[in-house]
Amino acid sequence: MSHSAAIVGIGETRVGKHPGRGILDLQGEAVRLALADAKMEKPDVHGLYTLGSYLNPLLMHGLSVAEYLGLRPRIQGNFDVGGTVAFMRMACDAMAAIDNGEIEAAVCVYGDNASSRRVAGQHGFIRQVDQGTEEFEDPFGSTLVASYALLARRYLDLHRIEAETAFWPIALAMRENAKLNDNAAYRKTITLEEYRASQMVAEPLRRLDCSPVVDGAGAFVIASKKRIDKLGLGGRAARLLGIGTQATHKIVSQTPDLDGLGMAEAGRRAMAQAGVSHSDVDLVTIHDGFTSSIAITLEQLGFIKPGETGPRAAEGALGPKGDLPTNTHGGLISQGHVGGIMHVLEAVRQLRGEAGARQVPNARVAAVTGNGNIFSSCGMMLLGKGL
Amino acid sequence: MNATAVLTDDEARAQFWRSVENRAMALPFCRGCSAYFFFPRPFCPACWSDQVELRPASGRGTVWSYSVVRFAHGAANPWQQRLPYALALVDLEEGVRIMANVLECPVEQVRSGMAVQLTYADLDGRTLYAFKPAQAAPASTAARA
Repeated sequence: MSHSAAIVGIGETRVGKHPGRGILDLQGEAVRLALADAKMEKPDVHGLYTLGSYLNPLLMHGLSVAEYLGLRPRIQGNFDVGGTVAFMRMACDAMAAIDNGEIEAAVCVYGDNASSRRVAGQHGFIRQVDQGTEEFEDPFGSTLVASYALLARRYLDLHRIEAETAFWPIALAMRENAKLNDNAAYRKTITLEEYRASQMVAEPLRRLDCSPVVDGAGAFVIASKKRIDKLGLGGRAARLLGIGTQATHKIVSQTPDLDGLGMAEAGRRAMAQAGVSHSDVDLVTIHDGFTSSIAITLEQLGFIKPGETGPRAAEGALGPKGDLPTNTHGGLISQGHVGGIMHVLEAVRQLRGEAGARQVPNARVAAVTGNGNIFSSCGMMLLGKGL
Repeated sequence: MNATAVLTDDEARAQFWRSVENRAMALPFCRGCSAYFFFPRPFCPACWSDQVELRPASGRGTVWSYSVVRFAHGAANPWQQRLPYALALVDLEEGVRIMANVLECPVEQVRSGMAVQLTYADLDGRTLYAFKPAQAAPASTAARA
């Protein structure tokens, strides 16, 4: 793995409600914050990688962001690859372009105003036309949550456990992690009684198993080693140790079984490339659209034995001082669904040692993981402290 | 289905939906790999052979997973009037999996692993396939050979 570039700047807006602020405005703020963190300026943005809104998808969104910010990047593009996996491929593309001398720095950004722009009586992330489900799923009343619920049910069936044992402790763990994050939108304590009373959306998933829509944006900057050394930012950089991504299907009716999802294969490849074993990984971020996503991901990656994520979460394993710090920022579930961009930023922050009260002791290796659509596109990106 | 047409219109799907409309669902079969596949395409997604055809479905299957949907958005969404309803992924005897509703069964009784059989329902202006609990086989009264 060539270390000619690394992540050197991060920036995020407040996560919550931003009424009256458009997507470009929010993404623009994150870009400016990340660049400032990297001690760079407008002319340094040779590459601009974006992911547009899930609520209002836009064609050639990269061009819109570039134009809005008065940028003229050599490389720009919208990477609609799947939750958090998109940022991994952005990072890779940027690093390859830096490696071959095409650019020296790039910014990667995502943000949405899915909360403030939400149409009353409509799901926060509406299923877009041509998402593939129209013909063989939607006519039967399928929904985004129901699609994930089918995998959650499969998980419970395979391990012969109930949702309360498997998923409730994960919901609680994410909430507990979010309490330590000033920029998480959901930080109030939740109790088992509240979980039981939480609206059942599509069995076995309740409202408290689902990530909430919010407004917010985040961005990160990748720069060449030469640039990073010149700025003296090597100590605050996060280098790419390994990456693996894998697509298997699109719509849930085409899904492999849980052990055939791309997650296990992507993880194997990333860890092999990085030369790291499970015990080397100090923290994990997981694209947690749902509590079940955390269980499925951690177990498919081999971090936790099959069926045991709930019980391990109940023991505190997923907290910053636990055995397997997971989504120390609260995840999509308790920070709010910001597409997984914060999952990259949190990993970098932890590796820098700047996570404050939620700092994972001696964090040197972080595993950023993702799944897009219904575990259709999976990935792992391993980041190491420093360059 | 109009919205999908631009992306996915093809004769294979049209033939499939006609078989459903006729309440005689036929499933795509590839002569190249001697296996069924789903959803229909003009070629086999496994081996890319275009020697594909539709064959009548046996109608027998097993629920692989299910979800009872208890909340849905949208005043204009007809499914909001049908809450709660059972959505299932059914493994057909032919070796393919399809999504459909489980009908003629209280939602609380839908289970993974339950045997189901194909049925049809007229829903939202069209005929759709669905599944219902498989009938128990009648006790045999045939004399032993």
